[in-house]
Amino acid sequence: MSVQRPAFTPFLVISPLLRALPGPAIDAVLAHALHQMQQRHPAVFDRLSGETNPSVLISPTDMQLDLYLNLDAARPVLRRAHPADVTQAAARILGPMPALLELLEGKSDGDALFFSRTLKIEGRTDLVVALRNALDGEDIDLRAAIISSAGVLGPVARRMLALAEKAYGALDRDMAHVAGALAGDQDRRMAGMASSLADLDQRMRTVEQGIKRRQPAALRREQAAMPASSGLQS
Amino acid sequence: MELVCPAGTPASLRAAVDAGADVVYCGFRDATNARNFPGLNFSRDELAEGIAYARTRGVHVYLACNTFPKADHEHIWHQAVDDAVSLGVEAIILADIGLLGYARDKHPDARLHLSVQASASNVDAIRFYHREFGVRRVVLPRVLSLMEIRELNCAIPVETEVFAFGGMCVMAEGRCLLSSYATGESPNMNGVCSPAAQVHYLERGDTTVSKLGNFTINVYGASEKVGYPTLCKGRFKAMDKAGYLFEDPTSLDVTAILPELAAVGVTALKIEGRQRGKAYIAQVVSSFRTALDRIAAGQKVQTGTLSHMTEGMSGTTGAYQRGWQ
Repeated sequence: MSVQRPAFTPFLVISPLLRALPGPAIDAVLAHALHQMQQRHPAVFDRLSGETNPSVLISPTDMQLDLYLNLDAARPVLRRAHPADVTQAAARILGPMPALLELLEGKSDGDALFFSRTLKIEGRTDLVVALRNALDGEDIDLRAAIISSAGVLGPVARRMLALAEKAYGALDRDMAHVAGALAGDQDRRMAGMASSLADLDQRMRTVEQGIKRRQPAALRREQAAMPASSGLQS
Repeated sequence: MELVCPAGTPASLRAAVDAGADVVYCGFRDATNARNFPGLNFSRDELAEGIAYARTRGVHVYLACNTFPKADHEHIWHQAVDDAVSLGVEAIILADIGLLGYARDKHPDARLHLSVQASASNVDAIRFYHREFGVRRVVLPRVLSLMEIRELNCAIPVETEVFAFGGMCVMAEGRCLLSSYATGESPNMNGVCSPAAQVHYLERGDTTVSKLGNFTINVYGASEKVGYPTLCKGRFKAMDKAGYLFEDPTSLDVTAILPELAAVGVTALKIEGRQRGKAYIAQVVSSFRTALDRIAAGQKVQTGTLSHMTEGMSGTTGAYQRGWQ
């Protein structure tokens, strides 16, 4: 059972507005986006063609809105997740929405996000790896896709996107200030604790070395010759 | 020094070429190469397109066909070699002596490189591969110090390529059976270490548990960075203390010792990571291109710029300097 705390990103603020929209409208936009992706990037579906049940639950940790994605080329699905999807999806990917979008566009490296624990995965790791590789093999450009799918309203979509990006950037900066102010005291306390721990660690080493030096040489040799009992940590 | 860069997908190949690679190495989408991960690697058509893209920009493409053919299935590996030659790759990277013999006999003009999977790390072994199969370059295992590479280069008639950045191995390349022991599949025979289908992550409160098959490999605390789910990077208990008995989760990074590698006669630098995304490839290749260009211009090189891309968020110069000795 995992403990998920919401990531502090602009999507935390945008999320309530999105969730206020009618559900069917959100599903229609998601279905349109997936249809566009299948048209523009069929190779993603080709690379996953050998997978049985290529379904993934995508859980942006800053949105309180899970998405269900199934990349079966014959019947692809992208919609808001239903409660039953939690058990039916083969895998789950959890992370902040900005990181998930960067991953989709290949602007971030999935392994690096995983090493830093920005992303977490559950369920079938092989499916998540295959999905990551399939997406990364394409040059996906969300901005271009949105403008293109607006058809004759493309120039309007371009201007609206530019405005939205500007607003997002401002919100991101403001939230970073707030986060800095909130975390300041805690950071100082943590730094103090880390320093105390390092000091204790050093003192412990000194004591251990002192004890070893006081042991008779024969006992030290005997201990060094003892076979190490090893086992897998469980 | 030649900069040899990885690509697991066509987009990664383009990213490597655009970022300044001299050479891109790839594999076919099957068990013939040591990065046989789901959704990764090239179809024949994709490789043909990739070669065309690279060639128009003056970049070479090598094909890794570096696993060991299974009995009665040699034709899959033979076909990979034949296709690589007909597609026009500049070199084929091989490890198995049977396959080297096949390539030598069937395609005498093909340029053959010896994969790190062959684990050739001494003068006699490398001379043998050169004499018997006409190998023109050897990718050295990550076990040798700078001094040992210098001595080797003075005594062998072939070029040497060394790892410059990326995941570390337990330095028994081509001979490691840890993954086989735990999962029945290995990089040597199946092209995959710790196959993803056998890897599971469990979130327990603030900790993440990584498992390979039935084995628990690690338990990461809330503030710890994560490494690859391989047994060699596992944390085990011995004498009541849990620790990284084989190897810390860390990545190789030789940026700081590039001039020394050039001085000991290394011909090419290999960046590991065909399984990594194009963002990794673009950043790492670009960083090494800049570093090599600055060295050529007699300027200082900035180090530590790629730590966010490393496993466990830490880097090492590994056996080249043997800081642990």
